[in-house]
This record gives sequence, structure tokens and C-alpha cells, in this order.
Amino acid sequence: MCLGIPMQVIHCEGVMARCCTRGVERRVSLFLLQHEDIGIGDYVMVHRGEALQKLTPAEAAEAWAMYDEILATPGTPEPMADGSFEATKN
Amino acid sequence: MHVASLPGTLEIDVTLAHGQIRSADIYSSRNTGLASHFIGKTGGEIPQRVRQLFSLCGQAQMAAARMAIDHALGNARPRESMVGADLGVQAERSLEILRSCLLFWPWGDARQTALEAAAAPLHVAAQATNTIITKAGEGLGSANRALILAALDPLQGAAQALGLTLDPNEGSHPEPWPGSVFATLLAQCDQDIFLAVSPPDALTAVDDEAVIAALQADPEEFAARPALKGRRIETGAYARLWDRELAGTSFQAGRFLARLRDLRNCLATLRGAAKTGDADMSTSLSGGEAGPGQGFGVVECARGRLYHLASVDANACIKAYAIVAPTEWNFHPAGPFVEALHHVRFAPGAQRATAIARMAATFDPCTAFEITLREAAHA
Repeated sequence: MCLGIPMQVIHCEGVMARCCTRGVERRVSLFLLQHEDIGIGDYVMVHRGEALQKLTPAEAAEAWAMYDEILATPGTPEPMADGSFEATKN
Repeated sequence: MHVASLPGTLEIDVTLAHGQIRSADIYSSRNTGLASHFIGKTGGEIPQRVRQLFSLCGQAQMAAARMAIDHALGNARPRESMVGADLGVQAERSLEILRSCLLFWPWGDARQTALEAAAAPLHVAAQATNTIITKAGEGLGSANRALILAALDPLQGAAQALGLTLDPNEGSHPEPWPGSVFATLLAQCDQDIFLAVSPPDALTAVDDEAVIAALQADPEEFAARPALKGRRIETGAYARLWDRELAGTSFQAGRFLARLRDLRNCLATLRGAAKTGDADMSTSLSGGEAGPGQGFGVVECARGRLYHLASVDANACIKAYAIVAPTEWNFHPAGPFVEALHHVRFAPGAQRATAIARMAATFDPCTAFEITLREAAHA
């Protein structure tokens, strides 16, 4: 399923960025957001290595609260920074 | 948190013999059990949660959730609200067709040029889509409908700038105009592969009852690997729009042209609904009761038919929840993508991994995929 993971931009270089969430770093394309003002410290929703939209800090925190709740469910794997989850074995 | 592996992907494992495909398998490490997390929540919370969780198809997920929960609770939603949901889904579907075709296509050496040409139209399309979704969600009074109509012009203009032709006299397949980004993509479709396969076995409203029954019987297994007996089901633009004209094109070109036709249909539907405030939703949204305290919702989203099934208790809290995403049908281990792989004949000198990646992209999965090619041991 097309899960998006909120990540924080920690370094920008052209349309590419290093983004971080929960200690995991990923190289992320800002191609779709190149007309927006994206800088270090901003939050973006990442799917398949592409930043799809800019998020406010509150939106990112809200999304992560939801993921934390999911992660607290026994047997649920941790979400990965590329926007995916490990398979659940129930 | 460990990131040693790349989970949540489709792994496409292809064995070659004498340069051609001998066997093909697909493995998924995607999580299809997220819906169980909704258990114990109030029904009213779920639509917003799924909208936030699913980054590509949030409107479709939200609409499906609302219908499933409404029917489970025995609530009736006003028609205007349904039309607004349909507008949001159609706008999201339009943007997603554009975004997926351009961003997730394995362009190879043409990537830089293609994406540079696509950047501004995609930005315009995204802004216009956001406006349409926002206004459609607020209500369909004349002021909002005027704003939706105004936002449709740049969305349509962006699609045209990328190569979409809109004139019905140009045929039911909208061949992209020469020199456009879409024309480049179309030319790449059949560069490396030749194949002929049967017409798609489309998932339609006729199948809803069987799908819901199977989902009720074994939600975890069916959500992960949906299948109906004796069928090799496909869902998405190619399956819903396949006809003799598309059959006359090559397999991959036909799949891409079906998405352009779908985009053209979405834009026409949006314009009609924005003008009148009403829409024929018979092929885009449906739902119903599925037993005491149970309801389902079905949405035709960009990648195909999306199912939600909800069960609620006496306090209107979720007792059970299941979602079947379109990608699970198309990339089922015995599904249409794997079947098509068995019919592939590579052109001489073809870049085999690229050719398979293009073929996977024409099936439009909503997640990343990895291709492994190996030679048969005793080929």
C-alpha cells in the first residue's frame, strides 16, 4: 500500500535532499516540490524516495503519532524511511 | 530500528534461459495488515486516518472508508457529499496518473530531459488538484463549483502540455502529440519486448459480492493475495477500458494509452460534475451492507478497484477492518503481471532488466519493486 513517511530535511543539494526520521537517513528527491520553498528543517511526506508534499511540523508530528500507535501493536514491524513496512507475520 | 533490508517492496525474480524468460516469480514484503490497527477506534476516526496514511490515494481510501463505515452503522450519506467525494477521487486519480506515468517510469537515459519537461506541468497539476479536492470537500455550492471549474483549466492544461490530446475526433485512444513527454514514453513502451497475451480479466462491480465474501472468510490472506477461483484478475485503467481498439495496439503501448484514456475520462467527469453539481457515480463509488454491523466501500482509484470492509460493535467502534488494494491483484504471484512475463520475447540486444522494469511500470504498482535476473543453471 502507498504509505507515506514524514521526514525532516537535513541537507539540500539541488533537487536532492538528505532526509531523516527516527535516526534513519535517506536520499530523497525534491523534484515534485522544486517550485516550493523547501529548506533544512522542513518536513516532507516521502514515498518511494520522492517527496510528495511539504508538511507542517504539526502534520508530521500527527502522522508520526499515528505510526507510533501502529508500532505499539504487537507484531507490527517498524516503518522504514523509504515509506514501507516490514512484512507482518501474524 | 534496523534498515538492513529493503522491505515493503515487490521482488520480481526472473530466470532466463537462452536469453529469454524461463520462469518468473513475485514475492511481496508489503504490509497488508495495517487495517487491524483500526480495531477499537470509533468509526468516525478511520476516514481521516486512512487519508493521512496512504500518500498516493488518500482521497480514494477516505471515500472507501466512509462508505464502509456508513453502511456498517446504517447511516445514509447525502448525495452532495458523495458527489464531492467522487470529485476528490477523480481529481486525485488524474494527478496520480500524471505523477505515476512520469515519476515512476524507468526512463533510462531520457530521464533528465523528460523530468525537466514535466516539472512545471506536474507542479501546476498538483496545485489545481489540491484546490479541487479542498473545494469539493467543502460542498458543491455554486461558488465552490466555479472555483473547481477554474482549477480544472490548469489541470487539463498541464495534462495537455505533457502530451494528452483531448479532442474526441482524435480517437478514443488519446495518442500523445508528437514530441511530447508522453510521446517519448509511448515510444519506449515497446522498445525491448514483444508479447501477446489474452484480454484482461477485469475486476468489476459484478465481482464485489464474491470479493467481500472472500474477504470476510479470510481477511488477512485475501488482503495479501486476493484471487477468485478460476480467474486471473486484473484491475486498473487497462482492465476497465480494454476494447478492440486497445487490443489493436501492442501490449505495453495499450496499457499506457489506457491510462491516458482514463485521464481524459476523469477530466470530462470532473468538468461535468463541477458544472451540474451531480455525477454518475455508478462506476466509481459503490458500497453496501455486508451483514449485521458490517459494511463495505469500493472505489475505482488510479490503480484500480479498492475495497474496504468494516465491522462495528454496538458502540460504533471498529471490531474488524480489512483493505484490499489494487496492486495485490495485479502483482499476485499467479496474477496478470507474472502471466505476462511468461509471454515476453526480448528483442535482440534488449536491456532485459530495463525492459522488465518498464513492463512492471505499465502495471503501475503503488510500491517500489526490485528485479532480479538469473540464468537457469542448465540452460
